[in-house]
Amino acid sequence: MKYQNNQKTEDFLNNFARKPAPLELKEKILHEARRERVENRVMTSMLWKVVLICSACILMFLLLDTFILHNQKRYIASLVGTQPVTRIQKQDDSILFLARLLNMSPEAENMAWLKGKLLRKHKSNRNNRYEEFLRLKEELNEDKI
Amino acid sequence: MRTKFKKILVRTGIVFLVIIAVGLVTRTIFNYTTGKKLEKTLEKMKAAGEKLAIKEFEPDCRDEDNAALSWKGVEEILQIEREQRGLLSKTLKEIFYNEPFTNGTRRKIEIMAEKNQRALLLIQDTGQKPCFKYNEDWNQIDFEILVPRAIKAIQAFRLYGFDAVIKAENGRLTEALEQNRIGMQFSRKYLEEPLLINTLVAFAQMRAQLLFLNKIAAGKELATETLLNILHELDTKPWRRGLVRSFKGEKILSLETGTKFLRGEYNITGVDVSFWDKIYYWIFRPVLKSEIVWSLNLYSEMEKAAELPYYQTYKIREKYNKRQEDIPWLFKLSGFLFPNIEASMFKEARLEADLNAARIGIGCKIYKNYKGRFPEKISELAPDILPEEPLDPFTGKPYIYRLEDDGFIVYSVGSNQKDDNGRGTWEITSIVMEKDDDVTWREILYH
Repeated sequence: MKYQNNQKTEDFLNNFARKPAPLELKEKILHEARRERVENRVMTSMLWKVVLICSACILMFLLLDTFILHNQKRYIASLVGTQPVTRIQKQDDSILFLARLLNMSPEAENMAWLKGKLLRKHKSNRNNRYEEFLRLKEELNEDKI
Repeated sequence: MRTKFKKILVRTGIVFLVIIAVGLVTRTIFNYTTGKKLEKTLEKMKAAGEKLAIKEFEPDCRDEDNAALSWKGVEEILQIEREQRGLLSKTLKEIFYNEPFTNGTRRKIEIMAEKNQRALLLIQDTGQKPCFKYNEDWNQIDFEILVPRAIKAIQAFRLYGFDAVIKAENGRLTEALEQNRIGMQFSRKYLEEPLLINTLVAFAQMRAQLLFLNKIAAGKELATETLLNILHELDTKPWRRGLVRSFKGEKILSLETGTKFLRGEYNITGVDVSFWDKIYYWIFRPVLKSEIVWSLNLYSEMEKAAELPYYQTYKIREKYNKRQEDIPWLFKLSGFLFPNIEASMFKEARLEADLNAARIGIGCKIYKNYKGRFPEKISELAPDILPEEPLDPFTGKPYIYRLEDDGFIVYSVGSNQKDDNGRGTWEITSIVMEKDDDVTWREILYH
């Protein structure tokens, strides 16, 4: 029933002449669509250029910086003549001190006692460095400067 | 709405990208130019024959000549409790202010000395050795042991000094004077370490030893030979040289610390470094390079100033203080440490004042041995006993010398350059003290 009525209406409307569409409508719609697309676009070509240039700069200058640093580090090290020293080496030093000290003195009894003291001390070496600094300040003849 | 949000987000991102790119370009240029400046400064230093590594400060000292080996034993076995430390400190002050050395205090110190007899014997051993080399590895100064060992050194030599005073009071004068001489010798040996902290400890030790010397020797008739031996220990030159050397050492240590940071070795003090810390150090690397150059130049200027007598450095120190106040804000970011150079120069001057007062005091005793009386003027001591009349390091003028009924008094007017009638202060609270700042040697008449 519903479809029969639609057919009737269509037949009725076909009795009227079609009005021609305005000539510029297509362009107008296309233009509007283009404008809308440009307006809603997140990245413009200009922005793409900026991103590309910046990324290239970052990459290039990171490499350049690494290169500069590498050369300068090498040159400065050759002037200063320093070598990196690890913490492990430092720890070994204290053992070396002990060994030296033990070799130095002829009094074996004294030295055995000293060795015991030293070893105990190195085991429980938990100095609070800040407190130590405060103590030093206090000890330097009480100077307040 | 969603598109608009997306647009804002992307554009903000691009702005950040531009900022990062500009920042990175600027940083790279700055990194290059500051690096070149650092290279040039180091080349100049090297051409001038300056030391560029702590290792170059290493003393030529064989194990059998090394006093530090015995000293390490002292550090390990010395046992001074907190209250005992306080007692030593309090009694030292009392001696300075001429308060009586009570029996109770004497007994407590005697007990302390008995308990640390082995340590005191080892100190005696240090006196026989000609050189002092504490560090084994001169590629690196061990930061962690510096402070505890400095405290130990001060405590040990206070006890050693008091032990000598007690010996003198018990009639063992020669032994006491020899002990005091070893104390002075060791204090000077401590200067062989290239860092300022050791130099300051050496100053503090020597100042205390001079106080003990006055307590032991004043008012007592001593053989001329003994007095000449003491006079030999009172030379001021090694102390000024020591200060200059420690400034050089600090300069090179700051250079080494700086270059380690440049190499990416951030954990030099044993503290763990987080990822963000590393980023921070990386960003401020050019600033650090610039700061290294700035500090090297400043140290060099102060090295030259430290070679001069203190009274000739007032203007230089004024200029230095101004520069310290005007440190570029960027340099504060890299967290570079700079020691209190002016206070160190002041402490050296005060020690020189002390040493010169003692030299005049001992010189007057030698004079009395020859002439039977103390001199009328200090100038009478030169050139036979002292090569020349010592000058007050604070004024460049002669010391004030007065014969009194019961002896004589000789003093420097101190930092305030005012005659406080020979009154001094043990605790120094400022570079220029308002009152009672004289550095004095007092002698009691004996027959």
